[in-house]
Amino acid sequence: MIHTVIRITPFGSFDIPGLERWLGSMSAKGLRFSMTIGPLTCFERTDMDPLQIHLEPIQGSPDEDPELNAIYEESGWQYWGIFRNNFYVYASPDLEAQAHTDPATLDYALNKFFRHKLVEGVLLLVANLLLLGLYWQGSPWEIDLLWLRYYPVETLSNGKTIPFLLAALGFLLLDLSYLLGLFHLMHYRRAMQHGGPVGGQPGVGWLLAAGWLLLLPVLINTVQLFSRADYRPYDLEGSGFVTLTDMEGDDFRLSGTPMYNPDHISHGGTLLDPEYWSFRQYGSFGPDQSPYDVPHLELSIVRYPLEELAQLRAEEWSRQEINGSGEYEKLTAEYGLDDIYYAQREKRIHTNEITGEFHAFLPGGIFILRRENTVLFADYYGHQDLTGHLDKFAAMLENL
Amino acid sequence: MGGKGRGPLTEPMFYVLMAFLRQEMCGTDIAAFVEQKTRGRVKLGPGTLYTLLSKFQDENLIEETEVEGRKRTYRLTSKGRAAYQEEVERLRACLRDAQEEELL
Repeated sequence: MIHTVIRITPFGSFDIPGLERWLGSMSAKGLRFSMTIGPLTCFERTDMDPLQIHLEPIQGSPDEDPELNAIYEESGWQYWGIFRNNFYVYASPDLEAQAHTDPATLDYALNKFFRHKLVEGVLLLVANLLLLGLYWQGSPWEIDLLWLRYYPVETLSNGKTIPFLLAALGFLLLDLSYLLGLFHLMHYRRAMQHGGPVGGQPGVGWLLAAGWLLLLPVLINTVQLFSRADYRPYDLEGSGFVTLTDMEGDDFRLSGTPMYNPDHISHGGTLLDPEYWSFRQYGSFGPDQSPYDVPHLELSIVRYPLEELAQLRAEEWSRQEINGSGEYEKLTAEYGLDDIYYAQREKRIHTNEITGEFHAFLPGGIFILRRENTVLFADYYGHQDLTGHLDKFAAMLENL
Repeated sequence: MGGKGRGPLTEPMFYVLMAFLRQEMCGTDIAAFVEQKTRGRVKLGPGTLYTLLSKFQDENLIEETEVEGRKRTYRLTSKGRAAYQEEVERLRACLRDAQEEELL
């Protein structure tokens, strides 16, 4: 049975002397290099005599090169695998064996490898721009900083800001690690040309690991977005959602337009965008009416990763007056709910200052309910007393 | 050093080109050829040989003729032959200069 051991690579991607020394010291502990996964290196535990490790810079496409392996094997080296698409890894029991015997040729190889990595660096830069561009709306330059101050949970859970910040910081670490790698490669090349110490710089690999750790959730999030896994609607029937019929009675006529009476619950979310549900339902209205003239209900629900965030969000919502909702009153928690905020909306007449026309808005109310890490915002316009339906909303949240 | 400006070739470069003079050759045979030809004086590490084959192909001094299993066979191009001859002439000139100097 093969016993695999995984370690974070402490050296930078192009730090040839550092990586050779590290892989050599691991082999001395009986850990034979097997493969790399991002910032991680996998080893197989096996019994070995001390070995010398050599990393041969890959000059073209990062595929196994049978001819090269044959050339190395002829000289007593054993092929172990590919290190991060940068190097072929060879091991030799001869601790004095030399893979490169011509400094001018080694310089050519290092120079070609350096130029290749410089071009890849430009591609990395393009990847930076593409990913950051995708989440640009969440950048500190695009979000309302005043809104962030008073409504941090709402602002930061917009599905863009957290990915942007993680991507920006992740790329910063990744780019820094890459630049340091190029610098080490340049230094190594100079040392090979003119002589001088070639030590290797431990620690750079940790920058890469931290960068990957930050970028990984953003990458998963991006895949979810592009595969449309972020939107997963389901049928209203059997959903357990409170409808206008529940509130207005079975005789109430609902709108026949799907836009105002959808047959599904909008539902989605990604790794970095909290799971949400939204639903709205309007009564039937005539050609001389607007949808605001008839009873309607709009529901918005968000499930946060932490209960504390949900608590903060409920509190943030309770500070927002929406269409003359007035002050919110915190009611005693019941029906298994943790927070209940209620604002009653009186019937309101709005007069257009220019035309003098007036418009009457229906009364109603707003519920902000929290159960554990889930917050519901229910905005109702109609003549029913919303508080009389609290049990239905509570049951709905419980069954989500 | 044997680059595009074509200065003098290093010994490994010179002997690798020499290996292709008489016949097509695969990478693994070249190291043996150089070892034998120089009686072990010129060491040709596998990394050096691999890089030189890649470099000479990039510079069109050699070209691949056949791939059989793990073996790739190469031959010298006319450009490669000219580069080799140029180096031989240079070395002859060096030797001539040295001999003249010794006769004075």
